[in-house]
Amino acid sequence: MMVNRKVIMLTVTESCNLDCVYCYEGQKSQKNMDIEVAKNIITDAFVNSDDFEEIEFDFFGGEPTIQKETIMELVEWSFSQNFNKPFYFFLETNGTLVHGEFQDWLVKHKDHLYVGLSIDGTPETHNKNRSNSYEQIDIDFFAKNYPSQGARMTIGNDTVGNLFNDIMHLHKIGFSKVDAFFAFGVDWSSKTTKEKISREFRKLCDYYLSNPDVPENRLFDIDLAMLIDNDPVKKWCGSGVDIISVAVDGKIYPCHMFQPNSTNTPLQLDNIDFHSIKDFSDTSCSECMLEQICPNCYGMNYCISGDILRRERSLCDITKIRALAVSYLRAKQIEKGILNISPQETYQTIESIRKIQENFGYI
Amino acid sequence: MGDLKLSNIEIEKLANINKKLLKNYSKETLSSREYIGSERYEMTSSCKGCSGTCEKTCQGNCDGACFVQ
Repeated sequence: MMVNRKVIMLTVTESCNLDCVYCYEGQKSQKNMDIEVAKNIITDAFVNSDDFEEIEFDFFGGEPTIQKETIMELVEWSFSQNFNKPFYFFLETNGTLVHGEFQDWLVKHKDHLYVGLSIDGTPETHNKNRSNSYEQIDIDFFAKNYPSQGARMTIGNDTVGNLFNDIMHLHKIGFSKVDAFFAFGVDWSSKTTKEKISREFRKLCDYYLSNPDVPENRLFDIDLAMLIDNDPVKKWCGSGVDIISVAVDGKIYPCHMFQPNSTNTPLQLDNIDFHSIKDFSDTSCSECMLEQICPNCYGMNYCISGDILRRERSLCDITKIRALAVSYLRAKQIEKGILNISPQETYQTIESIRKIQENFGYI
Repeated sequence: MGDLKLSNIEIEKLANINKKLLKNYSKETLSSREYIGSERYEMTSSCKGCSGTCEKTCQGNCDGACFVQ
């Protein structure tokens, strides 16, 4: 059963103790959210969320655990109030400040405060991307207490050649699920880089074919059958509708990417109404067969061009390689008879495989 | 390159699978999107905290378009 959920991101601090190579936050500061501002936002959320059945509050940063006292007070205060609908909290962290008594407190609250760890793979990869912080993380704590949450892995340009090993490493240290994402705003277009990525994807394909019981990484979570769908391009995320983010000063934005700490673009958000847009296509992408499945970050678009619908193109080649990899894997699975899908989905998947291989097989 | 390229023979094999399906079902039936049920996109625990992504709008296919790095 799908739950109609409102997501409210609380930027409890703009400060971060790391300096990750792919970080999009161009305006880091030491500013923190005042606790009373946060309480007012939470209270107002229950007044202004009639269309939603539950509310998720995300602690966001910077690195939110720098403000762990604020986090603890807000969670305990919230559950002492008689709010009128279900709610929970989520904390995404780099893990470096999660130790000792704070761990005990998190465990005590884990039924309504979910925690996700950002970790990029082997110590070598992680340290290169994330300020030599691997040894500062109590990895067992996260793997043991939040097993279904998985590891959140960001793929950077310098380490992409180790992608397969990085994913395997995270499985080995206890994360059954690894959510890997290519960093936005990075130049992935060189031939050498694309060759590396193709090779890593091929290793993953071979691994999944040999180990069909292992859940595939979300990099392979592309519904190929959607590619023969002629519907208008759907909105990619909940930005500005199901989601709002709140900056440290209490100002509200469509999502964190529109916040001043993320963008250098002068914001004229009065001109943006996500509710009124019916077609989220970018006319310059209309000839691309992958538009329906192509990740789209409206905030990043806005940062780059000032137009939320004009796609930021850094992931163009990545999306093509991913589609090609998924088409390769599904073809092999169909051939081996290990893809348990209906005749309709088989038919549509095969049609898409043929189109993808024809259009992007050169990559 | 070509690590992910299927051979012409492999493509032909796939085409033959679809030809067989077309003998048992109409093209209209095989092209229908109705087989996709909402259960496929149920919210999972990992959707929690997927800040900026919403399974209702992205149908579980968000792929980190909105990302926490």
